[in-house]
Amino acid sequence: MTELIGLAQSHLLLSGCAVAIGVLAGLPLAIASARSPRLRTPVLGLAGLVQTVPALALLALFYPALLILGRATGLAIPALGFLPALIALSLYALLPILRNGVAALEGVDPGVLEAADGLGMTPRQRLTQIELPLGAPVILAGIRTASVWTIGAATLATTVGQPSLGNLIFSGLQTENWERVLTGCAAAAALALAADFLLGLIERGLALRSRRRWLAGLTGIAAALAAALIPLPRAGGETIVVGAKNFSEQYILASVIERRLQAAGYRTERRDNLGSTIAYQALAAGDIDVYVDYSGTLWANILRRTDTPPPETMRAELARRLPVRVIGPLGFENAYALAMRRARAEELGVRSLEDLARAAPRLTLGADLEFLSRPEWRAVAGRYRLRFAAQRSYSPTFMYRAVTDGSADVITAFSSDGRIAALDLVTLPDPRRALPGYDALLLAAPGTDPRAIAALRPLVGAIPVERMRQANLMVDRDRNKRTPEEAARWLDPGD
Amino acid sequence: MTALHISGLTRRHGGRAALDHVDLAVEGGQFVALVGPSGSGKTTLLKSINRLVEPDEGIVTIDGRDTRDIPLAELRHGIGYVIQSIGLFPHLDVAENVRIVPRLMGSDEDRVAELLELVALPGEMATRYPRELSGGQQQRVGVARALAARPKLMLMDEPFGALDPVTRDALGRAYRALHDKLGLTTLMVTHDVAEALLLADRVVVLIEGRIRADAAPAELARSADPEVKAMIDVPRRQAELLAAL
Repeated sequence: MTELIGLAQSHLLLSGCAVAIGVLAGLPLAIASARSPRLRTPVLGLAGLVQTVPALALLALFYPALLILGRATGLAIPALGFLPALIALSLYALLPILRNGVAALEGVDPGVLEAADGLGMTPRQRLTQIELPLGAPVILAGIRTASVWTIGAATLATTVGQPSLGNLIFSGLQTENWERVLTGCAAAAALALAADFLLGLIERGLALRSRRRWLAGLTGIAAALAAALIPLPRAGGETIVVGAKNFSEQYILASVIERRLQAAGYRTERRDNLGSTIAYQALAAGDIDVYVDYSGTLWANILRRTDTPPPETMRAELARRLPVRVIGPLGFENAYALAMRRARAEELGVRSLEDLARAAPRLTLGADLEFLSRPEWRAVAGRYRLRFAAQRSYSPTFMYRAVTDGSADVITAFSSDGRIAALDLVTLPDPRRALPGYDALLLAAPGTDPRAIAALRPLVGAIPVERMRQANLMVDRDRNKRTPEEAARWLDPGD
Repeated sequence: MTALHISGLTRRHGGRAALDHVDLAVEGGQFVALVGPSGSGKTTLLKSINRLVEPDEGIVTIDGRDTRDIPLAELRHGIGYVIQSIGLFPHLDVAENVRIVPRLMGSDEDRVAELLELVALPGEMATRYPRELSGGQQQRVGVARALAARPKLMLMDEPFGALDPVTRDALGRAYRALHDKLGLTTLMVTHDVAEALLLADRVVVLIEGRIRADAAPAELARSADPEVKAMIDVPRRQAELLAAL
């Protein structure tokens, strides 16, 4: 419940700020556009263009943009979290506010405007005393639309590390915890409906010139934003930000890390559902402090290496070349492994990737969302000359569904995944060593408090692959499901 | 009383001259009607006086002052302006509409009751909104609003054009009485020649941006100019036909 309230608070605060910026930027632009047709076409066109970019992509684009801006200016611009989410959502809120603003101002009766001019109003008096009051209901309707959109789109802020109600939806989706998904959706919908109702009250109040109504609406909105600012009770101490990518193992490990840090007296915050590259860059930039990544992923994606040396060489090289702290390996590997249902593999006589190359042209590959654009895929496809009849991308959970129901014949499974055994899948050996090793490595940002690192050091070498598989399965299985936090407690009970 | 002088007033629209070197002198206290066919430049001439239209050439002076030397807001606060579309502010009640010009000028003098009485509206109208009034009532408020800052010069652009004939006649005569009572100088654009002849002291006929005739109604009725004659013959013939019924 505290989690839900906390997420709803930051969701509301983010949406409120985004709409406020949308209004502050949108209204003057609307006024200028209504006055000058030369400005109007490009401004409305640009705002419309922004709207055609999917919200998820718009959010993701501000991460590298801010990162580059921070590097270029030498300023400490946070590229992850509140700022990129705020910019993207403000841009998103702009269009309805602009469009309605222009329509409102252009909709004022020309006779009324002629009278205003003829009576000697200055342009400013005409704007504030006549045009804005008369256009207010239409302007408000635009703000109302913008608010509902923004509250909806704010669920996606989770993907750039800004906590929102989307945290419940995204992590619920990955762990197939539908109750969590529904809670997130319902809470976001409730916020949107409440905002719509309150703004509707103001809109009708202005249209009917009922001060009681618009004051009630305004008070409601002010109260909601004030409630979003009330700090939740928290333990004291320095805050460490723990990152996680978008699958169960990452949620569990992030919880394990949080438990260790909290036991050492730290407060922790989470940034969940980060993409692989974003997670690493966020760590390098200090936007997150700790997370777990896999040696092969860093090797191929960050160092851009295509060779596959033995694990110890790779770890040493990573520790030497990466500008972040490598605390150490957790003790298990989570490799990309191409996997098939055992029955299907036997039927086709596929025992390794070499056999797969022959059968592939008749088969469908189901990959996770990143794999097909990663260098590892180019390496393995090149080394074995793999060409599938079709390739599809799924979020990890649905990828396992796809191989069980036959939508995909081969999937890019994760070797520490409990579902490989549970679903009776076989992983295909890689005799030509196209795929590197994927030791789970505990990483920390360059400036992390040594005491915090010391608190995490007992995790090095402490998690064998069988236990990790078991913990993953607790979260991923259909019956007797556990939350990642419960699995973390089982995996690392502490003292 | 306010005297108005216009000399060499020219305004071009594309290649065509909407006003072509118009000269006009109006003595204080006169009621002048501007008539002419659509597009003859009547409205452009009227709007050149309060500078809603900026002329390309020519000078307008009010009591000897060039209108270009008077700050725009001050110029317009001092001129009553009444238009066919009335243009009452729909979000303000009658009293707020009537008070608007004195308020813009920073005065808090409250003459609403007096002004409503002047235009023969009951005092309880003050708290009504424009949408609750009939067209005739709305234009009475429009006239009261124009008079609120005690202007001496009134510019009226087809002020009664959108009203039904009975209301129009009553309002026209009521305004003429106000003009005399308050010692106003009035310039009224109308396309209704009968209205012009019956209300004004002087009728100016504009055709294609030039003054074709300028005379007292009785004198104009005897004009030999064929176009002017044609304009006046229409209401005259209608009146004769009506009288013969």
